[in-house]
Formats: sequence, structure tokens, C-alpha cells
Amino acid sequence: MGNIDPEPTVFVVDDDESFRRSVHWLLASVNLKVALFASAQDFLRVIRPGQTGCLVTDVRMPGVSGLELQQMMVERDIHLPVIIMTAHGDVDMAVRAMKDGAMDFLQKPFNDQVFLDLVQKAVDESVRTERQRRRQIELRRRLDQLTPRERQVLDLIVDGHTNRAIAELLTISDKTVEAHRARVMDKTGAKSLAELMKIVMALDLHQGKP
Amino acid sequence: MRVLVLCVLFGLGPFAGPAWSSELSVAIGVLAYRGGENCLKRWSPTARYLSETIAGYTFRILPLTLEEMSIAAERGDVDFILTNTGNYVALEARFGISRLATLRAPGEVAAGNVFGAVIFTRADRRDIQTLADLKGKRFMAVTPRGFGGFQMAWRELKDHGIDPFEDFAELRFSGFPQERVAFAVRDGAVDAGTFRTGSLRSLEAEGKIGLADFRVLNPQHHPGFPFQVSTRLYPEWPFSRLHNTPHDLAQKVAIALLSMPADSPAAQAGFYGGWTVPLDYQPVHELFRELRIGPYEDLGKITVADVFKNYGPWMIVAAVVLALTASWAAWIEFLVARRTRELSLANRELERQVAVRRRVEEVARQRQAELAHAARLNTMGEMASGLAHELNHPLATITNYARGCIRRLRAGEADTTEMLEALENVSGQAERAAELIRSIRDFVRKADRRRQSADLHEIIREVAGLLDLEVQSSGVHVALDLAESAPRVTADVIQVEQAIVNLARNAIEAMNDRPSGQRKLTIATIVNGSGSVEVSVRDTGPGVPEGILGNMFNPFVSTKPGGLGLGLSISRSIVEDHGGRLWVSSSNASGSDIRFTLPIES
Repeated sequence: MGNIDPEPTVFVVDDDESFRRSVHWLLASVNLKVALFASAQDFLRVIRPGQTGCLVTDVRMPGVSGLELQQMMVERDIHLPVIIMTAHGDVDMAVRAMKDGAMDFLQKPFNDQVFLDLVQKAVDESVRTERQRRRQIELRRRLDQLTPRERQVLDLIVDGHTNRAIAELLTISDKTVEAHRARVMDKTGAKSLAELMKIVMALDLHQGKP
Repeated sequence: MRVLVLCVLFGLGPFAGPAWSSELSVAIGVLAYRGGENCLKRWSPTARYLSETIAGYTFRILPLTLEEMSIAAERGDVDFILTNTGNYVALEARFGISRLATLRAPGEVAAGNVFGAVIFTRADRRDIQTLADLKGKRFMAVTPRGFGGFQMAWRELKDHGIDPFEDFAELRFSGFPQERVAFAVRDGAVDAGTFRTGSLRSLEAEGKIGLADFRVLNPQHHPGFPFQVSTRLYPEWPFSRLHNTPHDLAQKVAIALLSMPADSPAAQAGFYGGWTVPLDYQPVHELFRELRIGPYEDLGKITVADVFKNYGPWMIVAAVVLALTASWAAWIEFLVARRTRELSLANRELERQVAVRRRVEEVARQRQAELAHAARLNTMGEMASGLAHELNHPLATITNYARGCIRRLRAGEADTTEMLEALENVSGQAERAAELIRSIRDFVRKADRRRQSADLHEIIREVAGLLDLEVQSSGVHVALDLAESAPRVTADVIQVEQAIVNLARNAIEAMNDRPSGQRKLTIATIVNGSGSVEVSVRDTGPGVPEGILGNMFNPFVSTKPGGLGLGLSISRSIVEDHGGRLWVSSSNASGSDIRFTLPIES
């Protein structure tokens, strides 16, 4: 995807056209951007990683079912929150969908407020996750600009060593440590030690120690 | 052939199965009475329709002859069967196949799912006025095994004292196309003929004959039936499932067929007008029983030839004995006595065998009725659950449009054009829902014309018998508390049974949480001289919850997890159709008492 954030969109996949359009009508009343699809295949043709919003889909559809669609999205690295709808109040299917990562499960017909709240929650969640993902990519990129030496210094800073201790450990002068440290702060864009720690922690948390 | 097993191999649940596995192949055996190619051409679009409508399955047509059909049904080589009414009934009786939907004739015909036969002569044959006049005449039908093409007429002829194999000067069969029968009658090659209803009119439409040249014998009047007809009416071809076809798949197929539009390409290619809820095939059983053909071929047919075949040796012995007696009476008197003893033994044996055969026939008949009954209840369940599912779509759509309208009106951003469009959609979807409900109601009311005088107590005992298994497994004690006089009612027995079964099932389920010693179901009748009989179905369950009491008769209101809420509403519409009413007489913590009335025959 390019740099511009694609607008968060609610993707509705349901084989019943009237129903699909009625969902659109409901979502449009709260000014959410909506895209309708008659089948999972149509949806998969359009969707790209990095898209935000959420997917609202029926479990039972000709071709690819809602549950199956969930799996295909995982394979394609698409992480939209999924809200599963069904005309059956089927507990087994609900359990299955939730296990496979669906965010929630709605029985048709549903209460509009419950539905809209769920969708809003899903969209917010998606935007938040996407922001985080992009931030991590950016931080990662910045960290990758460090030279091996600067990287060593960074690690030692994070481990809580003073400049003096670092100088001794690396057998270099205090001045050189100062210079490395300044470049680390500059390249990572961190304005304080605390911020620097946060950046490293954020990447650690998700990607292991660099 | 059958790859449904794959579903299990994939180790996935019944819902996930078809979606995950690649397409499963489903075979529909279709009676190819006019050759395999014709059959494929006519029915493949229907298979295509099913493949497109039901995800994960590929349906294909397997053209079969009557003989192959029996083999396929017995071995389970196919998953579904589409065959003529007569053949269906035979397969139902022998292999337990059961119908999912009944074919509709094409066009705007109100009674498109039933047909009969027309028996006709040339308009100028003054000597032939009634069926009885056909004795000694030349007659033509389509094929001996044709249901509309011969057997329907046979039944009516038999009722009028004519055995078509004995009493005609000549009985000929035209084969297909059946228009040959009309030509033969018109050209005087035979005196009268028969084929299925509607054929005369379509031949005239094709310009092949003039209706005025023919006169219909034994004309019958069936309300709403548009064609001239000489016989009773019977249901059209059924689409049926085999005994072990997966329930879920059968249900999907039933729904797909029932929701096929009358003008879909599949219906057009097959020369039909879609499908309706399955009809009752009992009248077909009656025909077969009466003619002793099809599944009833071997029943109760004890002829002189049979007797001779089985007891011939004894008869010869008897003859010899008599001869000897005449010649040497005195000398061999002891021998006569002995032989006589043997003969009387043989006679008793013969009587015993006759009795056994009668009993077998009786049991077979009862079994048949039970089967038909069970099939009807099952189909009803299948249909109801499917329709409930289908109903959710229009209801969800309506809800969304309505809520969307409310939101816009509240926010003061309602645009008239937009709102109108939304409301149009609401009413369109409401009609779609109503249409679905209508089909349930039609199904319940289908058998209006089969009312007969019946002993209500007998019906209740029958129901108690039907519930035996359920009652045993759920540890419920059943008590019948029937009035002294046996009230007779004019009723569709199967429907009334259905109504009572529904109430009794509710009662049994309501007692699930009671200790097993405290589960008692009582079915009572009360005759109080008001011209109607009151039936009470009482349980010792926890009573109906307050919140439900007011609307428990509405369809789809249920207190049971997974319950459809159709039982009570179906029972009530049956009772009301019979001129009675149904109500909750009492319901409290110690049990519920649901009652209904039926008018007693005067």
C-alpha cells in the first residue's frame, strides 16, 4: 500500500442482495464508508493488506463460506476484524467463528444499536492496530539505520549502563560514547532516554530483541 | 458415486464440512421414460440450479429405467430420486425413500401440483355415455405401467365394474408419444382411450386435434382444477431423498427447490413451473392397493391356482381316496378315515395360511400408514426449520431498513426519495416473508379434502402409540382419561393426530427437568353435551413462563432451546380449520393444561 491511509471501510459480504443493501442503508446513517460484496471471492479480489475498517459477513454463503473466508484472510495477511452474522442461532458455529478469530457473532435479525456499536468498535480497533503496525515498521526502519557500533551502544544504554560504563566496556573514550549516543537519539528520533526505551520496548515486545 | 463420506473424512462439523472440502458430488436418479438423452436435456438445468444454489455440492443427473431405479434405491447408489408418482410410492414402500417437494405443472394453474386422467370417446359416439357402456368396446391407453397413462383410468373402470383386461373387446397400448391415443380415438381405430389430464388441451394448442371432436366420460369436478378429468386427482412427480441421504443436505435441497422461481431456466428446460411443498401420496397407495399392483402386488392374492399349487398333491390324494372308497368301500373304510383325517388337517393348514396372509396384509397396511405418517411429520420438521431460517433474511432486512429510517428521521436528515426507496424495500421484504409463511400454511391445510368420520378416541390411542418410544426414553408416564361415549368427529385424521402429537410433545419436553417419578402426561376427553368434545393435554411440568403466555400461539415463539415455536401455532390452525378452538386452560407451577374442542358429528 502507498503512504496514504485508505479510509476505514465496512466491508459487507452477504449473498442476499436485499439484506446487503439494507445493511448499507443502516451504516450510511452513521456516515461510515461501506463496500458491498455478493461473495467472498469478490471481496478477496479487492481487499489489500493495510486496509482498515471491518468485515461483516454471513456464515453461510454459496462458494466460500464466512468461516472459510476468515481463514483465507489470515493467509493473505489481512487483519480486518470480522463480525460474523447468521440466520441460525447456532452455538457450534458461533464458537467456531470466535475460535478462528472473529470479533463477534450476531444473529439475524439484529438490533441496530448493538450492530452499529460493534462495527464502530471493530473499525476503531482496526485503525488502532494499523497505526501501531505502521509505527513499528517506521521504528524498525529507523533502527536499521544504526551502524553496528551505534547498535551496541544502544543496547548498553537500554540495559541501564552509564556513559562511563559503556566507555569502559567498549574500551573507547567517553567523548566517543557521547557522539554515538547523540547519533542514536537523532536517528531514532527519540527526544529523551525514556522515549528511546519505549521505542526499543515496542519493537522488543513484538519482534524479539533486535 | 457417493462422496459425501468425504465430509466426515475431513473431520469437520456438519456446517463446516461442505465449505472446506472441495465440491461434493451428489447424484439424482431420474426416471428416463423417454430415453437417457431426453432425460439429461430436460433435467440437467435443474441439477445446475441446485449446484449453483447450494454451496459446496455438484449435482448431476443419472438417467435410470424403472428397473435400474429399484436397484439404485435399494443399494443407495444415488442421493436423490425424481420419478413418477406411481414409481415413487413403490420405492417409498420398499426402500423408505421420502419426498421433499412436489413438481408443479407449468403455467398459471392454481392446482398445478395435482393431475388426473381423462377417459374420452369421439363426440359423435351416442352409444357411449358412461364408463359402463365401454364394456365390449376397444380401448387404448398409453402403457400398462403408466400412472396417468393407464392405472388411474383402470381404478375408475374397476369402480364401474369393468376389468380392462377382461371386459374390453380389445385393450391396446399406444406407447409414447401419447398423442397417438387421441388420434386412434378420433380416427375410429379404437372406441375410447385415456391419458393424463391437460393433454387434450395441449394437443389442441399445438393444432393437432380439435377439442370439439371428443367427449369426456365420467366427468369429475374438482374445485380449482382447470382441466376436464374423469378420475380422482393425484399428486405430481415428487423429488425425494433416500433413507440415508444426509438430513442437512436434504433440507438444503428442499429449500432450494421450493424457492425456485416458476420461470427459472431450470423450470423452463424441464417443462415445469417450479416446486411446491410435498403433497400426501396416500391416494396413490389407495389406488395401488385397490388394483393390487405396485407394492401391493403380492398381498392377499390367494387364488384357486395358488391353492392348487400349494395343496395340489393333497387334492389328488383326496381324489384317489374317493375313488378307492367308491370301489372298495367296506374293505378300506379305515383307510378312508385316515385319509379324511389328513385332509382335514390340510384344510386347517389352508385356513391357517389364509389367516396368516390376511394378517400380513393388515400389518403391511398399518406399517404403510405409519410410514406415511412419520414421513409427514419429518418433512414438516424439515420444512419448518428451513423456512424459519429463510424467514430470518427478510426480517433482518426489514429491521435494518426500518431502523435506518428511524435514525435519519431522528437526526433530521431524511431525504424523501431515499426514504421512499427504503420503505418500498420494507414492504417488498414483508411480502417475501408472508409468501414463506403462506407456504407453511398451505402445507398444513393441504389435506382439507380428506375429511372423514372418525372415532376421536381411536385417534388419541393412535397418538399414544406413536409417542410410545419418546415416552419411554424420557421416562414419562402416559394416562388416557377418555369420556365414556366415544365421540365421532369429521376430521382429517392425520392432521388431528398431528395437532395432538404437537401438544403432547410440548408436554413431554416441558417435564424434562422434573424427577422421573413426577412426569405424567394425561390426555383426557370431556363430552359435556354442548355439541363438541373437549380434549385436554395435561403435564406436570413447571408451567408456561409468564412472559410467553400471551403470545405462545404465535409462530416462532418458543421456550425451548432450539425450538421453532411452530408446534402450537400449527396445532391451533389445524383445530381452527376443523371448527374448534385451542386455548391454555391452566398453567401454573404444578403443570399446564392445554385444551381444544372439536365439533361432534350430529
